[in-house]
Amino acid sequence: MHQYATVRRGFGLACVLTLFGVFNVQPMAAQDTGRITGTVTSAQSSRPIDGAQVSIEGTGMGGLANSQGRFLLLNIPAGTHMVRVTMLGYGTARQEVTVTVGGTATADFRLTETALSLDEIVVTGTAAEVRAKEVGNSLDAITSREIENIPLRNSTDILAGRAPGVTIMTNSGQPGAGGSVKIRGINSISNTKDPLIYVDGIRIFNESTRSGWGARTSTSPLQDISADDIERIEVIKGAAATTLYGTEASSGVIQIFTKKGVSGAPMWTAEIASGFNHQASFLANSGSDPSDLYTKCRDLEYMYSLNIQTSTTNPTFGDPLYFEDPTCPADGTWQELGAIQNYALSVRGGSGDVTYYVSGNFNDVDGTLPTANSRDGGFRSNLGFAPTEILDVALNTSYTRRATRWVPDGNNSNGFLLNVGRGRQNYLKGGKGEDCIDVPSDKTCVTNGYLFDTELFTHNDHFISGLTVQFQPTEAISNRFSVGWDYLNVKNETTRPFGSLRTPDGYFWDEQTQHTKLSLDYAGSFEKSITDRINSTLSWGGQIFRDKHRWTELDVEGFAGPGRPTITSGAEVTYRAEYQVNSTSAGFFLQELVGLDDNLFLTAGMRVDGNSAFGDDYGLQFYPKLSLAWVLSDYDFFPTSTIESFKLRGAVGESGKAPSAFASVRTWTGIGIEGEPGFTPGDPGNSDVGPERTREFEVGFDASALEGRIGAELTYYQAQTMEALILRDLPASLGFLQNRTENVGELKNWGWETQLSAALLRTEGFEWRARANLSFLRSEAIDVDGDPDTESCIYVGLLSEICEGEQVPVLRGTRIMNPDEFADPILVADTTLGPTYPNRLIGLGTSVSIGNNLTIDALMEGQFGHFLPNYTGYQNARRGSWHPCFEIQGKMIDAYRGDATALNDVTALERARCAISRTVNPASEGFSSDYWVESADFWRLRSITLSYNVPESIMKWGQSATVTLAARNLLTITDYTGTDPEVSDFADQTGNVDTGGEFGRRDYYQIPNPRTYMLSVRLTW
Amino acid sequence: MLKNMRGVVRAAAVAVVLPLAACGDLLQVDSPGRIVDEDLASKDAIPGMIVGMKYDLSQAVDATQEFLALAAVELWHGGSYDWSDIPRGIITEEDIGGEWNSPQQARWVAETGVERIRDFLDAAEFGRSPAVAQAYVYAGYANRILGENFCSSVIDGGPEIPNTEHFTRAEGHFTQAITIGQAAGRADLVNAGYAGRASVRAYAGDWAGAASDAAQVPSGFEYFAEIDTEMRNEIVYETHNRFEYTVWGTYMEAAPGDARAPWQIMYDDAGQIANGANGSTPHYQQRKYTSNSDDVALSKGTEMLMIRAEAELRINGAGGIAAAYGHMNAARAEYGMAALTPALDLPSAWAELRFERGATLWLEGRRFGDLRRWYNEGAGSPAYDASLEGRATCMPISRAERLSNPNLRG
Repeated sequence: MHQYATVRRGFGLACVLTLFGVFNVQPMAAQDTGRITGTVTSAQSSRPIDGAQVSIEGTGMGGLANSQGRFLLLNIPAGTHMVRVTMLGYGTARQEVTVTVGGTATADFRLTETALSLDEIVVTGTAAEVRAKEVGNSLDAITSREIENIPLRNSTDILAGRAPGVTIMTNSGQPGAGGSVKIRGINSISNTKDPLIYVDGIRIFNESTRSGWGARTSTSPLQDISADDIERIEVIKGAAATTLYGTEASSGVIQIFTKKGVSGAPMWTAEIASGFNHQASFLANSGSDPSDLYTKCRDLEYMYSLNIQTSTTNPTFGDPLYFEDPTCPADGTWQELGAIQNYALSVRGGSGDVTYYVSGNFNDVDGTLPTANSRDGGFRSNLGFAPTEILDVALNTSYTRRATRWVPDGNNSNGFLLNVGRGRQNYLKGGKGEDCIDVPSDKTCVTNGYLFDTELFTHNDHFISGLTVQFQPTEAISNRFSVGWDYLNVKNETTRPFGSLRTPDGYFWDEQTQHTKLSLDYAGSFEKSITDRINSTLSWGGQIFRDKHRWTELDVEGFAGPGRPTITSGAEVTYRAEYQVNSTSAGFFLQELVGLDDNLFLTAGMRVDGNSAFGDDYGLQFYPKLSLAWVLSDYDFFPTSTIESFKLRGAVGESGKAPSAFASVRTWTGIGIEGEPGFTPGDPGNSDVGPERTREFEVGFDASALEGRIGAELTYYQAQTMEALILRDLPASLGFLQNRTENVGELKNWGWETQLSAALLRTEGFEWRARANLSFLRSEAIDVDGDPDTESCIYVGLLSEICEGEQVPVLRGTRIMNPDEFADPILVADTTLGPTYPNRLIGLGTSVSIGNNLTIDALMEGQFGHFLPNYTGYQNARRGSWHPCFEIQGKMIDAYRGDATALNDVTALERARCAISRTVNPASEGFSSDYWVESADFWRLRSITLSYNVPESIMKWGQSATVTLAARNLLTITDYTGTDPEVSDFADQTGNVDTGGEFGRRDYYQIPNPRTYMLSVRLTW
Repeated sequence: MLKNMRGVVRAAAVAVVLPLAACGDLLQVDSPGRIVDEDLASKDAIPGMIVGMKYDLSQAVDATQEFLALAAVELWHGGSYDWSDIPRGIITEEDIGGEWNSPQQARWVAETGVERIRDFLDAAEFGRSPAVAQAYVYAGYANRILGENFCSSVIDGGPEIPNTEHFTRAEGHFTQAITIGQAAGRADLVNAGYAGRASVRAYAGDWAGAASDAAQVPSGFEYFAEIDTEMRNEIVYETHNRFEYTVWGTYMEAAPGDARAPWQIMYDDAGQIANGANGSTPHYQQRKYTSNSDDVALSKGTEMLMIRAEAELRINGAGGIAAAYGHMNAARAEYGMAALTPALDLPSAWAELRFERGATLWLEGRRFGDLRRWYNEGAGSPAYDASLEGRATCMPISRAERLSNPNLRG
């Protein structure tokens, strides 16, 4: 790690020097020129608008306003120019400015804030750039302005709580872990539920990749786009909006736009941030951990009271289990403050035909347990070139490298929380050498410190590059052609070195996953005014995607001695596996948009797709779409004095999901035994298999009222997934054990999404804004087996099933019917315990601005309606090491010993959860994790930020400076009793992208999300 | 306008469709390492097919042996897995997954593999091919697993059949293995054929035939399902790496020190008996298998001696006691164990034989089938064993097979 750190920091320095070297060149002052300066402020609040784009029409010259709202344009030819200022969320302003030779012209702009900008240009889900007013489906856009002061690391963080209908779950509190993203719930059974991801128009690999067994979590490609580089994120959510993306798009599309260069002098931005992670609690709703074992491991008196012998077959039944841990850190706690350092440097500018945005960043984050660390860094280069007025070329390239060392976690016999939390019933005992000589002989010597001997690393390398050429030969015709290349390599290593406590001969595991996606994308459009009132835009295009996926896994054991293990230095290979697949999809679309009076827009389109995963008998697929956008506020009858903008919209469309690559072909898989090669049945194949198809209908409106003080969006959607792909068992007696993919399922999703924003209080020098997102997500499995006469369920992992008539998916098991009665539990088996995923999402954001310099932002998110199996409590309680059960288990021991009244004040739920063995409580049928399926509703304060723009009057150098104090996850409100309602044990069994992984969820000793505190300084010059 | 639009549409269609048409295999999916079905129709594929059969049979043994050890109470459940009901004699079709799938796959691969090979070998070559003899051996053992342990069965997605059908098929396969193995000059395959056939004839009740076949097999002969470290001997993993299953509470707990069934009590640092992974059941660790690559016997010369001993008791009754003990003691001698004194009566001889056979075949996936056939003799038979009274006597067809096989959804 130290060697790596040196390399990384060296890389960071090189990046910084390179940026300085390349871009720290001031343009030569030209003769016959002058300057334009001025400020850009909000018309409503008079606050400066940071990042407003100032340009001189028809010249390609321009620049950006700084955090004080001030801009400076150099070398402007003398004469009269039209200066235009634009900023997302504000109306556009223009002003004529006359520049004299050697003089400085001043032009101040006051932009009107709009809660809804119907003239805003959007591209996601549309064939070409269109104005928001023309789009018939809902589209969420999150801009850099909303997030620039929030301590966010990547695009997953950005989306949490900010986009209605988007469910973000963090899954793990370890640094480097990626969250999961679901849009409008789950609308597929057997395929990936992840939305498509585009970065600057280039499609990238969109699935999570496991971090290796030992960490039991995953990384997401969304982590690889630095939040500092993001200009805007657009999210479209369902088949009605994603039709033009065709097969693969029915779970929505996330498009990330990174910052571009702008004409003008180089503008440098440097940001340095420092802070720490702090684990306030290892229990979601408690101020302490389950047994205080994590923070009191030197408190011997306390340690001696932590376990009870619950085995009735053991002579010490009912007695405390004594143990000590000599490897406990000297300060008596395993917990540490995890240091955080973030560095980012960027420059943007341009002159003439060339613009650039170049950035580099380095982040070093420690977790709250020893050895936990994630370091990442990378660069981005976005170059623009416009040699003529009709040609624009953009070359966007980024590279991110992340090295994460994980703490062994989750359902893992070497896991930290599992071992430390179980007290004496852990897996690491005895220590090495003289570790245990001071432990009294009547105490068990546990040695959890050796957990950290296990080295778990994930190295991610992600390279994304795209070349986009826009050619507009006439005002009416435009063409866009993109070539994209996305390369992601994820390398996982687990090393238990020679001399490890549990693996004395050592163990080495190596897994590599490589995804490569090559994409060719063409889109063209032709605009024409048919009459004075009717406009037509015809669009067409096509895409080809070539995907290569390779996954290898190798286990090696038995090393001769100390030293770094390698694949070849082990005595035997105990496991090896490889999976490779290369597949292609291609399609084209045609779309016609007709506008009447520039306020009624009708769009009709069709997508046609082929895919290598379709069966021979399936052929091409057709996905139609139709949408309507109607701007009622353009009509005279509309009360625009109150509601200045109002758009009704509706859309219906289809998109799909392809089956896995080999679903249509019968294959045999290569195997080896005792060194001999052979083959065994693989995929059974189904020549009739095709994509599943989702048809969605959505209606809604977007509105802005009271001079932009209030914005409102409301959408109702209803989707039906037909011919859903189901992995069906074949009779094993036919020889093939893998499932056969068949188009026999049917699912339904529906719900409401609304977003409200309001300027609650706005006075000179003070503004209080608030925003609320509310989403109601419903789903139902209509058919999961192609047999309408049966009510079937499909098991999808971790207690979750998809059952006809139920939300998708649900947790199933045995329910306690009388949880609060002082009686033995009354149990009903095989019943639904609750949904696995939230069905209500609430995001509440507020922002208070005081004066021109001080802003306080906060974002609270709530997720409701879902349940999570608390295996942490379940596994600890059955071992007599779960504090909330100690008193009850004492009573159960008394009952076992003959006290007939001992359980009189113990409820049925407590009796079931805290059972000590089958013989004590036969009515409960012994231990069961079903009793620990709990509501996982939670509110979480995602972030709270105090940012201060340093006044120009005290700035000694540079254009602007912002100091930010921020905290994340400061508060969690929940009744859930496990470690964290957001975590889940990663469950993909193979690392095989085609499986889509399992999507059940459970908390199994996952490290919870820490609180994060950050102080940062951003400087622009 | 419309003319322009038509032109644009045509241009777009040509631009997109032409590359697709030009690259006929553009939409092909390919994956190095996978073999499509048609590629097996070749002589070159025979070695790979035979290794595949071996692999699938080993998988079948590995997938069934821990379940069968629990069902026969060779091991007791002391862990965190869902199988705590199995040693209590409660087996439902939901409990059966890989235990059904793997033997069925092994049977199907071997039986259809023989037919594939027959398609491209001439009759003479087929009749002396060691590969074919080997395939028949694998087919025979796969059928034996299904016949001994399942209540009923299915062949190739067909209707439900009695489990005994597998003994018939196995006997046919072993007979072919003997014939072709002799033609190929492969004594190992001939011995495996005789040993396998002896075992299935015994289960089928043909004790004279079983004894005759068993007599052909040397007492030191052993034929294994090969397990390598990649496949991993599951019993080793679950009793050594994880403390899931224990000898505590089983009939071998009362026979410490038996060379055929070694086990030891595990202690923690405080000197207390270590608990299993469930935190409460004492962990007595089996030591018959100690390495992840320990093979599991499919046939042994000592099993043949047990068959001959049982045949003596069945055919000759009390008159066969001496001869039966002769065979049992010959088997014990193979393990360096002292000879037993012959019992004075038939019930005692049967009791001793049942124990001796159990110890000889301990943790080889055979005990459950033995208990079943002895239980099915009925209380009036001297062979009767009541161990399965009130318990499951066999494994049901898996629920997945019942739901997916239209011939079983009646």
